[in-house]
Amino acid sequence: MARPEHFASVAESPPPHSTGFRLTDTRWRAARPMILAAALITFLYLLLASVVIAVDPHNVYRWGANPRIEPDDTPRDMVIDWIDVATKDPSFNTFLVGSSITAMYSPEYLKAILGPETRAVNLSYGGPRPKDRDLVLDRLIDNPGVQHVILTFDWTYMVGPDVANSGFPTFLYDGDITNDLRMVNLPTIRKTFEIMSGKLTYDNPDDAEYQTYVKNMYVKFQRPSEIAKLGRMIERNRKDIDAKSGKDCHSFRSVNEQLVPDVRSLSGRGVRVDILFPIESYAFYYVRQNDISPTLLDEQMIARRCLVDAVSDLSGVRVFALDGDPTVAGDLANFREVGHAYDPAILQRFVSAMKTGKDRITRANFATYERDIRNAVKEYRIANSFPIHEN
Amino acid sequence: MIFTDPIFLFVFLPIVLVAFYATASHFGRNYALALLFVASIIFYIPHSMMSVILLLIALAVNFSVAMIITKMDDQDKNRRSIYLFGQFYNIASLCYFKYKIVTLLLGPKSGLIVDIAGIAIPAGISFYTFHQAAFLADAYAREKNVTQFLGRLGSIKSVFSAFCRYGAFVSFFPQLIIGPITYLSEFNPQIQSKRFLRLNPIDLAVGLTFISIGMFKKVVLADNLAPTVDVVFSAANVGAEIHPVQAWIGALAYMAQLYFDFSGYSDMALGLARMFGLRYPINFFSPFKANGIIDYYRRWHMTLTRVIARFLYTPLSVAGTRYSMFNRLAPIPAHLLSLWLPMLVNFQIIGLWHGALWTFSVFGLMHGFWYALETEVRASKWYKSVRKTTSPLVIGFIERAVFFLPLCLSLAMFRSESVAGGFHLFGQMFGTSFDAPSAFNMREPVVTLAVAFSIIYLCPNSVELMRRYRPAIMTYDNKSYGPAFLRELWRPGWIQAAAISGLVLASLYYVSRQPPFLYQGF
Repeated sequence: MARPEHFASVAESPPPHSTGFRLTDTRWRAARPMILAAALITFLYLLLASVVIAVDPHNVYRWGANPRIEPDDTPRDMVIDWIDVATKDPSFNTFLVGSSITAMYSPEYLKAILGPETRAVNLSYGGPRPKDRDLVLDRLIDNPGVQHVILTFDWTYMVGPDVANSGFPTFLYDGDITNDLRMVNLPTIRKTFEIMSGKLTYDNPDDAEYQTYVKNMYVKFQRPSEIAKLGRMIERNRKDIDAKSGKDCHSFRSVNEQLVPDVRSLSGRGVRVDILFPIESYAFYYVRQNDISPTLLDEQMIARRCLVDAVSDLSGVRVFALDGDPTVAGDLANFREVGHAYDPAILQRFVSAMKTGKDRITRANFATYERDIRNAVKEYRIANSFPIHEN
Repeated sequence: MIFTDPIFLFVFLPIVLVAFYATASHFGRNYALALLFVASIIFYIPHSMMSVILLLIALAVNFSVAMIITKMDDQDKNRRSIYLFGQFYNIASLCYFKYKIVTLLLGPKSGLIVDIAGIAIPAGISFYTFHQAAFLADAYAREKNVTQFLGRLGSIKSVFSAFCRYGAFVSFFPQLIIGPITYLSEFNPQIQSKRFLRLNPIDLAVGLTFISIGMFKKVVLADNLAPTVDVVFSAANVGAEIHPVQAWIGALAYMAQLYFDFSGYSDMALGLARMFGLRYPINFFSPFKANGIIDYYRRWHMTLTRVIARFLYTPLSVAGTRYSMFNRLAPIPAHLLSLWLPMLVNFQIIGLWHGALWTFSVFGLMHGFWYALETEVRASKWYKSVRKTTSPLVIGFIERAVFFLPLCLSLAMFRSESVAGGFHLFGQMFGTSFDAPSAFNMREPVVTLAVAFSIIYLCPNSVELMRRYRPAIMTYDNKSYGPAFLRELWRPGWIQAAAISGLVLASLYYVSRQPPFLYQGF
């Protein structure tokens, strides 16, 4: 085969027998920096990996340190590395397994509403998917100290059971220790050294940052131009908003194969399980049908109905929803984004529902709830009580 | 295992490397190759035991067929039948396990035969099947390397030894999952050489450099573009309104993601093989710098192109030309039969080689028409006269500008989850949905894209960079494009060592994220 032009000037490798000792030495000398660099990186990585696995900052093994989450910490997106730390800690009895819509609840806040006996930890992280949710629930099922689990039933349950959050370290929970080498990243190394220096507890550095982020998001969402854009989108998508999906309860494998069996196991152990349908604005269905599914409303309603049907007879399991109330889900002033509530009063009502038993959805009232939501979404016209002059 | 996994890089690779050179120096070539074969099987085990079993069966069938037809006399009528049986096995296993043809014909619940087919598509099946099909064709044609490679097969020990050599040739881990698809004539002379098995530190240095560059391309560039790509293409799949700018960013991001994913793998494969003293054929040579689709296919997945051209396009084109001549067809039908039809079939097979999806079929159709059309244009008097009278710089610029848009669109179709989704994305790219909600924060993808395309168009590729050390076997005679002053020659040294350490450390920053290479799915 012809060699390309630019190869014409390439230095040929010397013939095999022209290489004497000197040349070999020269080659070693030339290659030494690369080989040393590779050897050093390999050595350091394996050394760090050994230290990390021995210290076990995520508390995934039987050995190592026993790091703790401070009672009032909200690890938020860091929580994905700390699932075992939280679930293996016998001092917690209440677990909020949520998503970005419940990330703002601090354990103290939950305690203040749910009662003094509550020792809560918030295991909410952005964008959970069925596979990682299942891993979290499996850990709670194995924890004898759990008394109360609060779950959000996010739209992500519409996707298949094998789908995982891309940032979730599923490799830590698969029983295969060889792939645990992947945990040797910067945050884990930092945490390992903190633990080695005696700091066993976690502290959350992002509280102020998170509050600013949420506030900025709200201000941006409430701009008249954004709301007007949303209004135009709603009108464009109105004709298809209640399109039928053709799905039934068998279509939601993640619900049938993961969520319901997990809830059944928890219920069987006497654990109280409260499932919350997220407070989404009616505009949510118009906007997100654009990227989640063209029949989002129908699929959400069917999935919720199937879940209520499946868990209604289980002891200690309750389902709550607030979006049946148009003053909540219809007013965009309550939201920082179409699917994320912002108003503190509504967020409080969300948690209080579990205490008071109000806003409960049962098999008996689900048909009314579903009809109300479908009608409200279908007839929805932009409503926003946010005072414009505040922009 | 995948190449970017720390267990592979920091545990498996060093152990196999030390064991290989230790075995080579103490026990010789056959044992060293047997060790590579065993190591490759271990490397493959995490993909699933069923895949391992299937690979071993495929190796046994192809090796047996090759052994038999090599021993048989040319006049033996059964020789051709046995050869065809071997090729039938290869095609059938591909259709059965990759294309799920039985499931397609009999439905999803038709007993054991469908259940077995229902297992996940074995990793690398398309690659090792083509690899072995080419080997069988060489064996049938009595290519001299095959006879030399198999050796004298007089005893069980010699047969076993030959099988291990063959196992190492087909399943050697740097190329098992994603190629390159290698001919025995490229592998055998190297393992017969006295230089093979001798630890050459320059091979290690060259290999390490390739691995670092490849890892950086995959982990830092390709994987950081992936979230943007996923968002845009899933939105397109459900018929979402997408802001035109974001639709373009999504399509361009996929171009860059696929480029760096495949380029990264190809670099790592070359580097890993080189550490064991082997040079593999180049699979990837700056394809986006091509001046048209013809040039593109001499730079993108080159080893697949040459296999398909050898076994499909050339025979079809020859048959079409002969038919036209014997039947004295008019020029246009003759041309259609000898060029257009073989070209369309060729690209349809290239498209469907990636999987049984309509998007791949449409992609194949697009590239088939495009390739044939470009062939016609380049052969026309008009083009030749324009080329004579216009500056090569201007021609080069215009050709690349004309090449870019259809390439971007065809790759977007290739990535789309459905044909409708692909066309919907095209609609959004050229549409007016300026009201559409923002699907992602643009700052990071735009910066990554800018860096990615600067590297694509301005930097030399790894093979050009390392050309002093003849890093690979040239599959085609490719020109180097791009600014010549940037095509620096690499040589081992402390600065280069610091640079590759920087690339590795940047890649290790993302160590917790290990998505597979895109071509693993094909």
